[in-house]
Order: sequence, then structure tokens, then C-alpha cells
Amino acid sequence: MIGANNKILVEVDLDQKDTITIGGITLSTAGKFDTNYREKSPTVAKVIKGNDTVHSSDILLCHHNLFYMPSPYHVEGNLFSIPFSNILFAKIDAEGNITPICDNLICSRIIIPTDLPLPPEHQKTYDKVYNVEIGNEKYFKDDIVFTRPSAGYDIVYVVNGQEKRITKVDSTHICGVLRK
Amino acid sequence: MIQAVNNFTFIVRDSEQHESNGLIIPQQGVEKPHTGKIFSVGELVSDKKIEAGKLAIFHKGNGFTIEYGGEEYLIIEGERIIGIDDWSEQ
Repeated sequence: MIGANNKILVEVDLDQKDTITIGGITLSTAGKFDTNYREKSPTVAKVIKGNDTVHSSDILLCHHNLFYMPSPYHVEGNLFSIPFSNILFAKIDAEGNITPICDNLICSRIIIPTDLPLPPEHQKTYDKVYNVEIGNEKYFKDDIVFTRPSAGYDIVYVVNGQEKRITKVDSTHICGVLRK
Repeated sequence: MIQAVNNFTFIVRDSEQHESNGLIIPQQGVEKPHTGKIFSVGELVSDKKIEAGKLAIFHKGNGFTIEYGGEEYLIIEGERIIGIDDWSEQ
């Protein structure tokens, strides 16, 4: 079986909620972020039949609304046929490195500079402004991008016991860029 | 310098009027002006009359603001701008 109409086949553990571990990579929600950040559970899926960009056994990070029951994408069991579009965020390799796909960018938030020596938990970040960490053909590393509201999707993941925090930004939601 | 992309326009809104006939109006009671200087224009804005440096007129409630580097920008889609004050035509 292969996916039709630009869809790919993926296998998903439907029991994943706050935390999921696949191939030694544990992903969890961004529970420690402030309440004004989006705290959604990204979903991890394993590719069964892919395309030119994603291949069999690749691990994908997907939007949290993709997998639920009953779902229009459900095939059988844990198998889903999902559209290959910007609701697929990134690929994760065995070392936990993330490669954005489908017009998404991996970014970080920018701390608002202050003269006060604030501890990290009290430092504030700009709203709707992000620093590009992993770009694509249009936006590059260290570009500062300005986005529509709620464009940032915060993800926390743990690899080899080390916690990493990234923010996914859909490049179609970018309204301005500042290049150094 | 910040460069707008797609069909977005960055506008620096005109400063607010806090005084009327000698009365100081509290910050909350001041309606924000519906005009501002165009700072940057995205490459997909179709109306070529919309250019950086011109004065744009727009309806209230359109767009959203972003603060960065001590400046507040109003981000608005190019087609939401309802008028341009073009001094060069006068």
C-alpha cells in the first residue's frame, strides 16, 4: 500500500500523551513555559511509506491535531495516511538532530535585553520575533524573523538525558525578516 | 533593516494625541490613529503605490503589532491599506 494524493503512510502510538519515546528520543510538552506560549503536544510518527523527502523508518514530528479517532486519515490499527504538508514539522535522527521539513523552520526565542541581572526564569522574550536556528532555502541561520501571532510552536525533547528546547515556525506565517 | 515579506507591510503608527482642548486624556481613553508611515513593503504587495516612506491610512482593528528594538510596528496586509497620502502627486 502507498499513500495517494501526496499522502504518506505513518505508524503512530495512539497512547502517547505528554511523553513519547521512540528510538531513544523522548518528547514531552512544554509544560515549563509561560501560559501565554502554546503548550501543545507534538506527536511522533514513524514513516512506513514515504516520498522523496521522508523515507521508511524516518521519525517525524507532527502537529498534535493529526492523530485522533475517528480520523479521516486512519487506515487500520496504528496506520495513518497523512498529507505531506506543513503540518509535518521535522525529521528526527537517531542522535536527536532535527531537520525541518515542509516549509517549517527551527527557531529560538530572543530574550529582551535588560540592565537588570535577572535569573533565567524571569527573563522575558520578544513576542512574534524569533531567531532562526535551522533554516531553509529562503530563511537562513541567524536571521531574525517576525511572524503572525501564535506562529511559534514550542517543543521540548530529551535525547540521551539532555533536554533540548526548540520553537517551530511555519515560514508561511513570516511577515518580516532582519538579516545581519 | 527589517524587510517585510510576502504581502505584509510594516507601518510605524503616527504618535497618539493625549491632549484635547487643554485636557489630558488618559492612555486608555485615547484612540490610536489610523495613519502611519510605511516602513517596509513585502514583495507580494500588488499595489505598487504602496511604498516605504509614504503615509498609509487603514481601518482600526486591522493588523497586529510587534515590538522590537524599542520600536512598535503595525503589521498589516497590503490590501488592508485603504489610502496613501502621496505628496509627490500634489
